Amino acid sequence: MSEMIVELRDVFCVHRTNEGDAAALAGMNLALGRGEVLSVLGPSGAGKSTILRVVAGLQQPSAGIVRVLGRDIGRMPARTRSRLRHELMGFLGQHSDAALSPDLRMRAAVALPLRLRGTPRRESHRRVAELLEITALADRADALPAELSGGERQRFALCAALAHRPALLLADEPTGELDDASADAVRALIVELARASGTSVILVTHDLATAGVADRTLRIRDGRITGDRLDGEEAVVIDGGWLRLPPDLLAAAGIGRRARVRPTADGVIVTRAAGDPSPAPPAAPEAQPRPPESWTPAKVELWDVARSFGRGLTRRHVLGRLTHEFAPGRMTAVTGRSGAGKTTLLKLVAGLERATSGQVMLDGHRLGDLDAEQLASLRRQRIGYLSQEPAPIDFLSAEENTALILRIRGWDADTAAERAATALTRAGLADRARQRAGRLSAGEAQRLALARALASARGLLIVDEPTSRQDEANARAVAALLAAAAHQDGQTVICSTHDPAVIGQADHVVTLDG
Amino acid sequence: MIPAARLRGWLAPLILVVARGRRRPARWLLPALGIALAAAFAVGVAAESQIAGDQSARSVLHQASPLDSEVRVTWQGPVSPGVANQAQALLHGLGLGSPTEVLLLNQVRLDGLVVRTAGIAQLSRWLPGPWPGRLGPCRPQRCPMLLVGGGPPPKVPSTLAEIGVNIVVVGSSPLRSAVPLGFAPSSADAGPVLVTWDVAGLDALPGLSGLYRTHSWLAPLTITGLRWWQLAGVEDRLAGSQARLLVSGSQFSLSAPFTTLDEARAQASVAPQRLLLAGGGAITALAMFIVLAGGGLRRDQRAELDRLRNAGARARHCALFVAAESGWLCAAALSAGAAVGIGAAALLASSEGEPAGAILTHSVITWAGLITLGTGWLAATVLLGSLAMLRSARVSDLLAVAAASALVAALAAGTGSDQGLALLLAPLCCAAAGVLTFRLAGTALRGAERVARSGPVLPRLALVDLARSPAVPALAIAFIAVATGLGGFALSYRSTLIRSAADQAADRVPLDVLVAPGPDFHTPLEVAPLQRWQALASGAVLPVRRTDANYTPGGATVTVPALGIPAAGLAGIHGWRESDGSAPLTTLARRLEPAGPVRTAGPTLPAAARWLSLHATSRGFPVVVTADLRDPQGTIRQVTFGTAGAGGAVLRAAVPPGRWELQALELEEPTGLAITNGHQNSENPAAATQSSARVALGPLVVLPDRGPSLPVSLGAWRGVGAAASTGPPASGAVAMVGFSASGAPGVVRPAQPTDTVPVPVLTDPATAASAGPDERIALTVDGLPVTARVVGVLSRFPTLDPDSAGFVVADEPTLAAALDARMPGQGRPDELWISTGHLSRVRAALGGGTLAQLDSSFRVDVDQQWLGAPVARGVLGALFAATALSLVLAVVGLLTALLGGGRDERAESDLTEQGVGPRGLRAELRVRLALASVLGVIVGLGIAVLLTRLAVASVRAAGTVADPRPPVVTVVPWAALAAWGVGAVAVLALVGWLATRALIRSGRAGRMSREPGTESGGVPRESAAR
Repeated sequence: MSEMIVELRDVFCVHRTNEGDAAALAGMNLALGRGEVLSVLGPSGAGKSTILRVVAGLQQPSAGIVRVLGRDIGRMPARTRSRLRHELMGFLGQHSDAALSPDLRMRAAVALPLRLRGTPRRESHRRVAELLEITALADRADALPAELSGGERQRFALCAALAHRPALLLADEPTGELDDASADAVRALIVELARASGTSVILVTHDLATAGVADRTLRIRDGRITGDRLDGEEAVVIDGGWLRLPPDLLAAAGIGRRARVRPTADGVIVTRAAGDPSPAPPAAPEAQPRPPESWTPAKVELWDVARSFGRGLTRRHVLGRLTHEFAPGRMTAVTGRSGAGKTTLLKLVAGLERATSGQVMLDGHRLGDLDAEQLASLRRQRIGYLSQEPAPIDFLSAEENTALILRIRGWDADTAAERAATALTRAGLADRARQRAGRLSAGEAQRLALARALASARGLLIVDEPTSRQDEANARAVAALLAAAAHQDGQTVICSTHDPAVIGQADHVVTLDG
Repeated sequence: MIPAARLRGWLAPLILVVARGRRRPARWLLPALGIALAAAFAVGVAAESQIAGDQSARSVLHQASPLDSEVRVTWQGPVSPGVANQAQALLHGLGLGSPTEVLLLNQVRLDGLVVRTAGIAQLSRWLPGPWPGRLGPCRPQRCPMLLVGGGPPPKVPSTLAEIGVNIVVVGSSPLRSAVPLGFAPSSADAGPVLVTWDVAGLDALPGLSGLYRTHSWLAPLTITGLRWWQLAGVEDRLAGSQARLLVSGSQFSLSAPFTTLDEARAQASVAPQRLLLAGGGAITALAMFIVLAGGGLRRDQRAELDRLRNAGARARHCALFVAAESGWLCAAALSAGAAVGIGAAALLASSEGEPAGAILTHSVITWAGLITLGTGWLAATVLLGSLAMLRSARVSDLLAVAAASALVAALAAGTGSDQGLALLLAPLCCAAAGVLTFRLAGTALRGAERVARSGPVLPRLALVDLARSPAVPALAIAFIAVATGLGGFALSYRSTLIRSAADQAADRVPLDVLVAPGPDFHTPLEVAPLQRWQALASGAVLPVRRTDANYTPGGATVTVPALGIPAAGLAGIHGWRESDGSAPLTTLARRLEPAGPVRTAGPTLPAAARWLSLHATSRGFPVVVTADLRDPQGTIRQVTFGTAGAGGAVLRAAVPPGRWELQALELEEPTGLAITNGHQNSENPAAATQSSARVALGPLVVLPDRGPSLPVSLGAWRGVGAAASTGPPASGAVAMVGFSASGAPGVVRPAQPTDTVPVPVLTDPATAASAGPDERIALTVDGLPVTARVVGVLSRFPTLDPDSAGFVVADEPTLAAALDARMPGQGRPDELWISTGHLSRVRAALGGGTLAQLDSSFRVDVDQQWLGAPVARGVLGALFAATALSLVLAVVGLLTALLGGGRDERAESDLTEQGVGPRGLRAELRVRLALASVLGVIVGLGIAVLLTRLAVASVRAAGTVADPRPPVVTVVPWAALAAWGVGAVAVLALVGWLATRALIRSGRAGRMSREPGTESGGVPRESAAR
């Protein structure tokens, strides 16, 4: 067996909250060898990010042992943990803005980890150039984070995490906001690094393609490992008599809540126990309650729309002479590589941006002719909008968050509460409706924002990367929800995405390609 | 040796610091402004303390008399040239001007007249005009001298000759100053003083060679030109010279204004202590602002630290990052603040008439100043850095607990902490309250949001946004609260100071002016009649009798001050407090007023009366009989009849011209008997020698110039004092009294109301407790027995020493009548309390002419003296300056926190996406600002009201009087506080309104330009329908 780089043994992580304690990790066992690429899959709130934080020494486990290179990082003083991170690790967090200083140009941001480690200037330059070349970001090296799209920021963040060739790379959703091509490049970069320099990698992702490049894939749920796929073979985890089987496997075997185990010469055979009810079908994509009313779908047209930023030599064209009519009452997916202008297009349609030239028409209104107040009024009356970085109010519950937005849009308190409850149920957050937004996982927070948009849309629903933080099942549910919004509620749905699950549900696909 | 890689690693955080500084320097505006203002304020306070110290010192130096400003070298006995040279060299070495040599001889009897002779070189400098007469050199054959001194010139023969002395008095002139002789020559005290300019000649007069003499060399030390920082050097030089002089000869002595210099230094050193305490407190408050500002903006720094850690930074890198970022910020802000402060201090010094350069080089631009600046930089850097590195909840909780403890402790100490610490306490309490506000505001905002859930959307939205990241708005609220609190405290301090000054002034001068006898003990009514005073004042003039009273509770004698003041004038005295008396002042005044006439007048002598004829017989020992004549002003004049013996005789006394009332007849022992008795009594006080005589007085006849004589009936007259009536009053012409030879006179006069009716008095509680069941108390006032009845109790009374064992206050006419009844003339008023609308006229009259000999005090002067004390003014200035700075910080903090760096643009974008337009955003921001402002001001006013408890202690600490009379009382200026609160809200609302207007108008474009994008245009490649 190769040298163990990371070893987790019976690790528990309990978060104490006013609403009650929550176990992010519940007896997690994990081992990672040198040069091994491990992906961790699981639904939102399963504890994926907590694994990374615990391994990085950024969070202390409540119980259990966390060994990194044979040393118990959980019992190390902060100073030693910091040295370990410095010497061994590269860390890529879930949000790219947590990796890139808003005040550093990208070249400097990528070079920062090298400089911290005292790499000579020339060598640092060479390494940065090499990374930017691989990720095709060389021409954006002098940009600031605010001047980049979400995907570009994510790639730069990965470059920064890889710059010093860490022995252990911890990456949280490294391809979450990337288009396929960029995601492929990132995956290739990670694998190449692992192969070339023996870097061990833990990838937290919900993207099966990303998980596919890993040597081994762990599936976790509720802080426990539910599946372990190694060399294409799915295994289950045995730990001291406890055997956990993946829900999908159990469902496929027709096993619901009770199973029968029979020993054989090779092991055990698990069969459905007598009287065991059939497993429930997957809940997420199914049976969404229909809203009480439907709206006249909005008619959105783009006439020769162009959008550029800056002036003179620094002028950048984001959208150029785009003409398109979005089908009313239908769902349109807007795709394209990172930085192609998807978000800009959505903002133009929502009246949050003004076109440099051309006209954006909504229900026959030329948005360019409306002032800011009129545009705001139009949004209130017609448009539900989900941005890429939603900002729910942390200390309000999911229900209160949604109801508040509806109150702003003019609904009375009772109706707002009713609509909020409905929208949260449709977004799969019924059981989390009273939870404070700050306590929701990233995926749940994104679904909360979707619920707000869904509840407030009256003819036009605009959503930007609605599944970037969703696991596979939830992504499918979200896609179905959006399709339902179009087909059942009569909303015109415009969705920027690179998620095949969403694209698959769309009636139309618009691909932006610079 | 540090490896090169590690050194290179240290550059990374610095690069990040530079990038952050270049990209968004505005994020540090608030802490930088706070530090800069604190530094400027500290510099200003340091300079102001120097100014106040210098002014305090100079006020002491200016009050010094010329006599106290001289350096005098004195040699006892005959002088040799070497001694003179040594003395002159010493004075020259001290850098003083040319010395004056003075020779002073002891008194000598010349031609039967006791005189003092003196020689003053450069005599003309000390005379007000040219020499009267020819004043040549002093020779044994003829020594011309001047008669010097104030007052009427004594009768001095023109020539005083003895063997070897022939002094010719060539004229007389007062000396301009007491400096040369060391005393003010006055013929009344020490006999005539004769002066010559020829010191050597006088010294050499053979006829005076046996006289003891002193030689002095004196030079003026211009202490009024000295600055505070020069005092120590001057004093050291003088002390050194004094020591050297003593070593060189025991006959030498050096006198210099050591006491004045010491007092000036003491006064001067108090000012900086007090001001630095007040300023230090304010600076601490500002430092707390820095902490809060840093704490409020730490989110950004913490995020950067997290990014650094994720990138692999070690603890040292993080520490370096924080230290570098905090360090340059503090250095830049401190430098800017110090520069501004130095400029402001220079302006301040110039406006106060002080040398700006010297003030700065002795206060700020010193090594201590630089070290303080460096320490301040270090402290601010560590503070800001710690806030970024440490967990905020723990720090703020710790600070909050410490602040709460400090606040409780300080307020519990309250007025008890009467020393300089009180000055520090108030601003510290403000700071502590600010920390508490900061810590609690978040909870309050969230609570308010919860309450507002059922209300309109706009205020709820504003509350939601305030509660969303409560640290930043809480910071703004704390800023406003501290600014409002400090301002409110400054107002309370000012009101308390003004009230205290008025009370002190009224305690010393109850009306507008108090006139008292001068050095020659002439009372105001002796110098000018009451009518003149009344004409001068055109207002109330109260004659006041000030004396002592004794009473004997339980056998021990207690002496207390006694005051007679016309009861009708009591209501007009200033500074009276309800708590000062057991009843309202008007009620007490009514109780003092007599029910009827207080005095029975004696027979009035006709204008033509020239003689009084009295038949008097004394059996036992001879008795000297005197008549007491009283003029309409109440002044007593005694005319002597002569001595009555056993045989009886008709005695006559001349009546001086004028209108007189015969108030009484007095009996005294003859001088010889009095001396014998006095001697024996002093030798054997236990058994005083006493004898008595039976005296028959009468008939008494008034003999006018012309017309018939006027008989006076004495049968009903009573004897008091050493005289006692031997029978009941009768209607006859003869009064029969017994007279005891006790050394005291006996008085025979008409029966007076005060013989039977006690004098109503107001007393302190202790004296009142000594009264009998019917409230009567036997007093001895001015040595005379007076029966009094306590009609009210006072805790204090103006002009009476609160440290005395008690006091007695009576109606002046009643008290005067009671005293006059015992000893005619004894009830005369000593003082006048004047109320006038013509203060300048009264001041002018008392400043010159015959009235100048009286002592006068003006209430307004005392008031101004208290208010104008450099320390009190400085503290008030420091408080108002700190308030102004705090308000600036509050405004900047509010705008920065809610509209600037602390603005949550993601939340704002979210609102925009949900359909809130610019008008709605503006309205929401304004409601947010208004809520924060109102909450801050309300909390601030609460803090101010709490801190009023410390106003008394602060005023006492800043005052020049250690134990002010009456005690300082807290004055809460409710109206001013309300106005201050409304004004603060108005200012904040106006600034907020203007700022939001500009912000939202330009904000949209700004946000749009920051949207992410790519360098290439997006072109639709495919549009596929499914």
